[in-house]
Amino acid sequence: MTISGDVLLAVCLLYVVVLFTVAFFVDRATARGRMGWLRSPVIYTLAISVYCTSWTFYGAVGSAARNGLEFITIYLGPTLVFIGWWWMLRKLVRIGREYRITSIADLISSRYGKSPSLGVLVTVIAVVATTPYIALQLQSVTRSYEAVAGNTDSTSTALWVAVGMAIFTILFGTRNLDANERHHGVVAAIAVEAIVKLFALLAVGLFVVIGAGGVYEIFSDVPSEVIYGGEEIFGPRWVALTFLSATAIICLPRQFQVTVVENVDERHLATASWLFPLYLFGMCLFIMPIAIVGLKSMPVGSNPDLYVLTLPLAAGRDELALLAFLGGFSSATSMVIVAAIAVSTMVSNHIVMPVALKLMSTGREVSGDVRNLLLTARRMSIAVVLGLGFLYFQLSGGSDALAAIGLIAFVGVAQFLPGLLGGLFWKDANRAGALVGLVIGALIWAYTLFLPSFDGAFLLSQAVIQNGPWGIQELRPQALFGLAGFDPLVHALVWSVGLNAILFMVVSILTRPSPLEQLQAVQFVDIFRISDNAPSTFQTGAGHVEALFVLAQRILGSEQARVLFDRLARQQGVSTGLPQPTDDLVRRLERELAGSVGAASAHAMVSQIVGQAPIGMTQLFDIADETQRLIETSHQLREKSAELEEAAQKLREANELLRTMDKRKDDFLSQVSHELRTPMTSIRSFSEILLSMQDVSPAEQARFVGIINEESIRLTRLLDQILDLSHLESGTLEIPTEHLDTRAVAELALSTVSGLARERKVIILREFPMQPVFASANGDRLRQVLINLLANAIKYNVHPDPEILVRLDHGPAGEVLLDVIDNGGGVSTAEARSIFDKFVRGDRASMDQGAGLGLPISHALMQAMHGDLSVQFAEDGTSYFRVTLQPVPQTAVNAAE
Amino acid sequence: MENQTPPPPSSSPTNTPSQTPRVRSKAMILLILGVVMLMPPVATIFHLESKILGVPITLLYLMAAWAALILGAALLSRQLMAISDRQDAP
Repeated sequence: MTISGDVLLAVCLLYVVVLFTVAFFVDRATARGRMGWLRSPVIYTLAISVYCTSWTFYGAVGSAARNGLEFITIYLGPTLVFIGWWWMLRKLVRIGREYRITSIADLISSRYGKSPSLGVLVTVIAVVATTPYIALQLQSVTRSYEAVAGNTDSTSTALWVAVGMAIFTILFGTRNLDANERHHGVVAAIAVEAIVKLFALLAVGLFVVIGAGGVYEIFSDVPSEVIYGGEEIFGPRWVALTFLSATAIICLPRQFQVTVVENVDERHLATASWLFPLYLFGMCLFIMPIAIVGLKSMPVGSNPDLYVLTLPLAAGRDELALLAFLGGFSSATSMVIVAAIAVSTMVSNHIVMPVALKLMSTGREVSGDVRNLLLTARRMSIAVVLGLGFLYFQLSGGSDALAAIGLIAFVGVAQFLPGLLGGLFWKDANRAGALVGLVIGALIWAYTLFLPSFDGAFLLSQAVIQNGPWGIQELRPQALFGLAGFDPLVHALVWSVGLNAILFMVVSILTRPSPLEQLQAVQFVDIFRISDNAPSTFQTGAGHVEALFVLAQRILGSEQARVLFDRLARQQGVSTGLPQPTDDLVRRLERELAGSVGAASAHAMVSQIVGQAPIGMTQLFDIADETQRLIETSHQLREKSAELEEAAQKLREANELLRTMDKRKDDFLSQVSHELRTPMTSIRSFSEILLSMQDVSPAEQARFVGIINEESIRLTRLLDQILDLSHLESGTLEIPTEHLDTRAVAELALSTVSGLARERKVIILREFPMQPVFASANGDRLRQVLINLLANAIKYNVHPDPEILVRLDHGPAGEVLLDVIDNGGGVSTAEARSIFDKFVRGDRASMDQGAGLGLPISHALMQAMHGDLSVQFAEDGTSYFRVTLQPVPQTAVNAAE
Repeated sequence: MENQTPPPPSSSPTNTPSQTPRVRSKAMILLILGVVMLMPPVATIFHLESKILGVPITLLYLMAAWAALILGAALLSRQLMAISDRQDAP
């Protein structure tokens, strides 16, 4: 023992000064907005390693020395959660950020309808479970201090540590009521401590392994009981401990603080998912070798919990022992600081503030602002929590029973698990279920594990622990309802968490949640799905804004409140003055305040001002996911049925079209047969006459044969036309087009019909331009169309002075227009529609001279030439035919010329 | 039906439909693998008396399984990061 108490004290003080400095500078850098490397996921991960307390640093070796490999389960549970269940952690982090959750008590209370009673209950359990844990840290510091510096006054050492930590925590944990309740300075200090403890443990481990002559040497002559504890290493206790440590990493208040509340970026979880298990792996790497070497080399009866320290000391390596002491010191202090912050936040937000609110609401106006009250409450809470820890340490007298307290605390906080997980993933979970489960679970935990851990010194006497209250064997704390033969820890875990979970589920199903609970349930469970438009639960009036501003001033301080309200106003588009009293404003303000005082208190305070209106069923319907999905589904169904109707309508129309086309085809066939029949009949009758009658004069014979010939020609023409038409309609008739002068074609057509015109005394007038008019067409076909039009105009003109005007011109778009206008009366609009159908004859064509195929063929021909044939109506109501032709590009015209 | 559901209006960053479930499933498989490897009865198989390189097999097995899980998580975390990045994009 060459290190004096003074040197050790100086080193401790120096170390604490370093911590203060780190925290101070980081806080200052944050205040100036220079986060930089502080936002690194590594810092975040190192902060999470606050999981490794002095219980790990010293206790893991002690546990390994006593129970062999079992110690590793305490680190396997968190490993499993981080590597595989990060999305649950991410959900926690997202909820924590969205709703400004300040602690695990706040989370559970918020989830179950911002219930104050749940907040109080969780806080009480947390305090009960954390106090012995803090005492354990104090004990480990004093014991290690004694081990290094010889016998000292353990009480004063513990007191100094407690006071020092209280000062640190108050200074850096309650500097301001940050809206997000984040403490960057503290986190940075914790990260530094995490590095120190890992480095110290690895250094001691390496020293021990090398000093003992390597791994091979260490394990060479070790009986297997030492390594495996009992014979059944992978038994119920192994499973229970892994489950317990997995639960603890989620439910411990200090873990919730660093993992959820202090998280600055969700993505950091991705890094922590492997880096934190790696850190744990590093911490555990040399535990077993240190324990074995300690068992082998240290005198019988020495405390295995201190091997990490006493092994270097025994080897005379003082500097290493000092490093080990600092490692233990840092793991103890980091736990104390974070636990104090976490628990004091709960105490001030869920116990002190509600009481203060009660006092304020009973009429007495509190003169000072709430902010000061809150800060004072938090500082007092820190002092009280650490004071309780110190008191516990004093009362328990630093007994060895304290060593078991780590696992006992784990089972205590494990009671949060059903309510927490149910709250995250199960919408039907409600306040009554959580409350009943938590109360029963906590009572069973206290009865079966916590109180018996005092060995009869507190509440439960030895006799009761041995034989049950009033001698009832079934109620023995460590063999409840006759479940004997189990490890006390496994026994307590099964009963407390088991009954807790079952009651939680059963009561949740049997009771009806309040509207606010339903609302919170949806907002928590569907955190990744819902948007930021939750309906308000408040009725706001204009006068309320000022009162809200005063409230915000009281809680956040006037400067921060002003900044907040300015921001809210700007977001509403209000340039000066207070923001508009919207539901959104109230909700956001409540959320901001929740970051400082917790959701339940913030809700109570805000609703005190604006008055809470019951949530309307319609609003609930809006957000209730189930309903929304129903609405969406029915909407989709409606859309689908509309689509179906549309499709049916189209089908009906198509059917109708088919039917008319079928009818038209029938008409066509009957027309065709009729048209063919007429010439066939005359051919047949005349040929019969010629065959049967011998006494026909040669002149008559010649006349008959002439008629037969004429009819055959007509028949052939008709068949040609039908053939043409069917080709045109099926699109198989290709009409080659060329660039030609339409004027010339029109002249040719006119000269063809000039004989007929003369015969009928029809005057044909021309209105042609002087230059040739080029168009893209087939000369023969165009002539055919024109002849057909002109012949019709001549034949069916019943005007006393029949006249036809042929006009050639360019249309507005450059197309070539050829109009055939006659004064014979034109067609009516009704006729114009069907005039291009087959076998339709205009009214004018009363005398049957054509088959009614001319116009349809002409029409189809024009279409095949990419032109058109249409009926036009002049302003005076008369109608005429117009042939439209595709123009020829100017360059082509020039080439043609 | 699922792909015809219209996305909720102005929702907060939701999960990329194709990627997240895959990474989630991988994480789930890693978790199940971890539980199976580290819990009885599988762990009991490696509960042997003999040693490799002087280290008891059980200890070696536990540490190796642990290291493998960490490696798996480290590989997964890259994909996680990519998804988180996309989610944070507006």
